[in-house]
Amino acid sequence: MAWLMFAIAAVVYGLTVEPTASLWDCSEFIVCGYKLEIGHPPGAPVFMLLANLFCQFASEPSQVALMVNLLSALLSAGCIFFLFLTITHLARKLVIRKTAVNSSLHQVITIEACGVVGALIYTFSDTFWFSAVEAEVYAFSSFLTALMFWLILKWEETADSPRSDRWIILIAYITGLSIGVHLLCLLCLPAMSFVVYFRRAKRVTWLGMLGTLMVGGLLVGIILYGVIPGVVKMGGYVVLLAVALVVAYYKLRRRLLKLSMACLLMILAGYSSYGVILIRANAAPPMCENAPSTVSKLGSYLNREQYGETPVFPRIYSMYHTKAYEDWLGHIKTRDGVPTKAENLRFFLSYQVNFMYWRYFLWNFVGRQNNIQGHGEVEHGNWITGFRWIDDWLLGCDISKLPSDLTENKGRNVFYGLPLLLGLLGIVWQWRRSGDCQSPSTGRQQLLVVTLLFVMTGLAIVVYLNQTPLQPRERDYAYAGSFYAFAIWCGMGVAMISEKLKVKNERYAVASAIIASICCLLVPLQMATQTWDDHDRSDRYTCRDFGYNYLITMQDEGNPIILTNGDNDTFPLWYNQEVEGVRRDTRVCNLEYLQTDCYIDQMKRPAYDSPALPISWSREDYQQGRMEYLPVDVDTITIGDMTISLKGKQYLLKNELMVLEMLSHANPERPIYTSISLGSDNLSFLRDHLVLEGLAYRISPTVQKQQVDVERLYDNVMHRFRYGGLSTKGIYVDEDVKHMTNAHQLVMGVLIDSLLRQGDTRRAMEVCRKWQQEMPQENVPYTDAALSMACCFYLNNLMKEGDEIVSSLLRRSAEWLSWIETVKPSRRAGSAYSCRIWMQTMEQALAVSAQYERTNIYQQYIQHYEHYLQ
Amino acid sequence: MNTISSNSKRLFRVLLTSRVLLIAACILIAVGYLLMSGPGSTEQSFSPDIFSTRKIVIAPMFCLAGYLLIVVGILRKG
Repeated sequence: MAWLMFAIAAVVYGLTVEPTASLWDCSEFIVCGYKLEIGHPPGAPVFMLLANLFCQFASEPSQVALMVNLLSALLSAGCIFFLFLTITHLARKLVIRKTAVNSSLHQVITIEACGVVGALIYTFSDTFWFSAVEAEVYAFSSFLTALMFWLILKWEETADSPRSDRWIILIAYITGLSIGVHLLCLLCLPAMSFVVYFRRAKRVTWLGMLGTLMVGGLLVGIILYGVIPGVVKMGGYVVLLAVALVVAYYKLRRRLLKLSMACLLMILAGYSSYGVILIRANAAPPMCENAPSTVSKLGSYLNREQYGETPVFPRIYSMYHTKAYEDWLGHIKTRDGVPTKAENLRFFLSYQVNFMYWRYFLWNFVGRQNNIQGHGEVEHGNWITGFRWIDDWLLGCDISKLPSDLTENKGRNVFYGLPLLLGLLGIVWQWRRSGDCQSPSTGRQQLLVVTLLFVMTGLAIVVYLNQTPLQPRERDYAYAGSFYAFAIWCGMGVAMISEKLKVKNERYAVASAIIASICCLLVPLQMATQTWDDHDRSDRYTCRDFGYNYLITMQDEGNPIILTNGDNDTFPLWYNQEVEGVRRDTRVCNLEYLQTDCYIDQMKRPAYDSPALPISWSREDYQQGRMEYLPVDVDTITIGDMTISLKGKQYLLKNELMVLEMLSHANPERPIYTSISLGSDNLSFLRDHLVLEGLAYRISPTVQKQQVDVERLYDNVMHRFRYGGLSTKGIYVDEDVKHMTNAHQLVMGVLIDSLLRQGDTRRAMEVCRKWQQEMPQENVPYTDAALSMACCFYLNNLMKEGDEIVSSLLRRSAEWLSWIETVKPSRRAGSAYSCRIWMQTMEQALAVSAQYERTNIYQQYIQHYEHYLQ
Repeated sequence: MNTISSNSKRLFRVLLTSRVLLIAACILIAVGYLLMSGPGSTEQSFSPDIFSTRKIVIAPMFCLAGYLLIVVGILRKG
């Protein structure tokens, strides 16, 4: 049965897996696995080794990403396998009384049903499925957590045999390995220490439990703050330590001491996987984040010093987010300039706990509003139940008037709270089951163990992370472990229902067990109908192709350089260069990293066919702590023919200095580009010297005002760009992909405008056709950039096609605006941004319809517009 | 004939004891790391050799085999 669960999960994930790289860190992890390059701290060497093995099955480089994704799919299926075994193990203890010799058929059915329902609920849950179909470490870490939890139960079964110690040693070894995947796995240790205590203790006491809790916490602490940094500090002496441990193992006679020696040794053995990071960093590959090439640098890499320290107290701490805290909390009461304790608590509960944890939890077990990242707005990423009147009340708006953009959002999933209900029943059952078993508190002991797993992998992380508002992406993936624990309870819920049914008809015990099982099985099946469409990433090549488009934008000659900023305009480019060998003559230079000395080191090295970047500074000048920023006391600076205005700038950061340095040394033949997704704050002083050529601007010394290179842009859009299979019917375009398609729409709109301005309607029409062919509206809804296309159609007397675009934009804006009106006033402030955007769209669309005398459309919507203007 | 097969069986049993397996695993890992190391790129030149088959295909396989063998070693008797 467990293998059947494995097979189901493997097939589901195999069918929905992304066939190439995915956004965010996935591209980076694929490069780490395929070429053993160094990703972001704290690194994942064990993941790299396993991913590397899977890469070997690829017949050509373009298959590599798929293979690594399949690794995630298989590991996730493995996690489901162990979840099934765990649930059935726990349920069996509670269902079958110890006095009974044989289990009866209805009991067996109930136990198996618990496992199947719990495992399937987790299989089809949102967060877990998301990580299962892409190349991230979360699938692997879920697998290891599940494995460790199962192993401790395995130990529990055989604890009386002298050979049971090997399970403990194996757990220690996996703990060591898991450091080389993700530290999340350590968090199941406290729960596991309770399993050991309950099994070993002759009499369970409160004092003993308190002690166990402390031991469990201490274990995590020792590994996290002792072993991990300690071993690195010891450097070469680690070998001596290992030898000493081996000797001690053979000399010592006490079993417990012997066991702890063996465990420590095995943790070290697992942890030794960091040799991969150290050795490969010494090879200085093109991607080598933080360059942990010496033992001391490896120490700061492991400590993730790059990200800075996050305190546990106070909860409102980041001075960079002063305004964000205020936006979230409203007025913040302060004493002596710092927020009061009560305000800290209010932030902790309302944002960190409620919004950044329970919301995610409820997404998985109750329902999710849509896949748009939420910052507290009524329309973005909330949890919903699926019952209209509850949701209306929760969100404070009228759901029946929801714009079609949101009702058709594939990320809208409603489970009517059924999985949550099942889980709660499971908790109650576990609690109540204690009384009537022979061993009086098995149920409650189980409950404590699972609760501890649930809390440590959920709320404890919330406390540790101390997140500020305005996170760059949704963070639900970090809490997959606690959703795993809840899925155990969901499984247990089946036993409760089955038992209640049986009590009513004792004579038909088997029949009632079957009925209960089938009813409960409907819950995960209903979940699958909801979550399938927003996790099916098959046929989607957008991440790879958009990364390709950034690179191909640059001219073919002169080894160009592209300056990028975020994750999604950097990692996909790396993936293309490193794995698929695209444009290795160019260089990607991430501005965020350019602030650090080790990245500048890398930029000063040649990589593949790209020579070193033109930076003449010596290492002493830019090393950490020097020239972090330079005060500005001039209004303009001149580099060659280019006069750059620094008006309003108080200082230049190190990365900005580096860019100016490169500009002053780069010969005109080596162009520097800035990515279109840089954002207006970055390098704003170069604003007037940019020429748009595609997904990037070329920095041009001769230009005084932003321009468009129409010929190159046309060539890129029409002949060089790839569109990631966006024309495939039913392809899943999530919010992040949509952001990138919007950049393409924007560029195409600019191109059409420019061509029309030149009077070149023929080529403008070609661009329109290309747009409609590659990014059809049903997959990529038009943004207001599409109005350029409408203008082009009108100019060519294609009135119907033009009308289609204009009226669809007008209809959507009217829908949005009329829905926002139903939002209750206290929550409407959050929708101000959406309101403004759609007002703008409506205004522009109306202007176009007026300009081309489309009276019908104009008349239809002008009253709407005037109404909302007030 | 019979003695040979029983001898080889015994040899087999000794070879597959936990201790021997663990030592073998350590050797595999060490060999893997040795194969993986070598000179890197410098400021003067990019060295394509850092992506040679030895370093990014064979070496990691040795390491992985070693790490997996440890699991077997832990679970076996002796």
